Amino acid sequence: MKTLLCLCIAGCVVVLCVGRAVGQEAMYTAAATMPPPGSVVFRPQLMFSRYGADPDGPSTRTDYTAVDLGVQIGLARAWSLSVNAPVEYQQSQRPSGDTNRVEVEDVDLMLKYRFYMDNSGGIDTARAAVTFGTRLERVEGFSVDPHVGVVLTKVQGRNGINAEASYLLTTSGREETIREGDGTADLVRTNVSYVFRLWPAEFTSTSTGGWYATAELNGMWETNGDREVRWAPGLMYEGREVSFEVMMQLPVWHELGERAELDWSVGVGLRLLF
Amino acid sequence: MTGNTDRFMKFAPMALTGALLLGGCQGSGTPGAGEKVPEGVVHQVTPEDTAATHTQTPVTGDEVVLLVNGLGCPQCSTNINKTLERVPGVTSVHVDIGSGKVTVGLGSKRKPTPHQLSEAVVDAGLTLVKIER
Repeated sequence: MKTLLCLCIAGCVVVLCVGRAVGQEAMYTAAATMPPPGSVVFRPQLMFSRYGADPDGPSTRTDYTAVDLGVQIGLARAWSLSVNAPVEYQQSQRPSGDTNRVEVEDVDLMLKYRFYMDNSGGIDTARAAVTFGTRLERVEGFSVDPHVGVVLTKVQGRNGINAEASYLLTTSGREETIREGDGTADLVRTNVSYVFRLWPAEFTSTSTGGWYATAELNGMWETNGDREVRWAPGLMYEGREVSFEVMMQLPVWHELGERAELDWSVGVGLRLLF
Repeated sequence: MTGNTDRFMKFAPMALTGALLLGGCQGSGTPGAGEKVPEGVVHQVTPEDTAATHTQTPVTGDEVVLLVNGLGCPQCSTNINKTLERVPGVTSVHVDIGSGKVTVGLGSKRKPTPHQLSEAVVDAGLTLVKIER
């Protein structure tokens, strides 16, 4: 814990010393950006989450590990298609004994359309996009859960802000669930991220990448009354064709009656542009 | 988790986020003596310059320099590289994200029009504001 405290303080000191900053897409909050037509971004993410006792189920603790094999394809100008196929491993502690489960999670298809773009300066930009798609849920066969959303992105100098809201209409869902959105209730997500370019302070003709600090607020509001807000600080390196990110997610407020509380979560991700 | 640990886990990310925001605000203030003032890239262009980026007359010369807005990230440079390389007549692309300038090499026979170059830049999610020859 002392090490973690030192790292956190060091991070704060570094951030305060470097002055102002900017950036792009954080780990949990989308941005109104997309690859150009014909280009593909492969974005695998590895996440580990620990949940507490399920108030509505038998598990007393659940460790959840997921590899999300995400691909974003530039379809046309201002249009992209995202496909996410998570593979998950879930281990739950129950009074009757531990249970394990490995499976390919629900596949998600999402179209993003950027309907507004104002590139006001060499770096500065403001963009807005709508998203719509569906989650193909595998519960007693396939069910289709449509979702819509809106994403706003503003980059100015070294500072970047993304805001995202989405609504997931659940048509089936699981009765016993640990994670948000997996149950039978609809889910509203509200995410805000702040991205700050730590280094370089200014890009030069030889710049090939940049380091970014990220901070997110992730809100989850379900129609069954479960509500939760999480903080997610992280660090990201963005290169011209390869980027990687590391993120931590922690609960700050919740009112949960149907699913377990998140204790903590960590994630690492990679982005490869083809 | 214990009470102290719980409080720490909630406080730490908030402190980090606050520090980020403070860091972001710092640069907006008046710089002290000797402090380097970060300058954003601002292209000096006239309405005529921007209008010229949509003409249909092929460009001349062996290369042109494109002044581009919205070039704010390393991956943006790869995006514009890819879209410009697909334009007929373009033989090379060099992106300088420090100055927001893209140097485009042109073939000896077929030359692209400013409009074609502008469309390729927009495909990358950026805006062409001026072409320097």
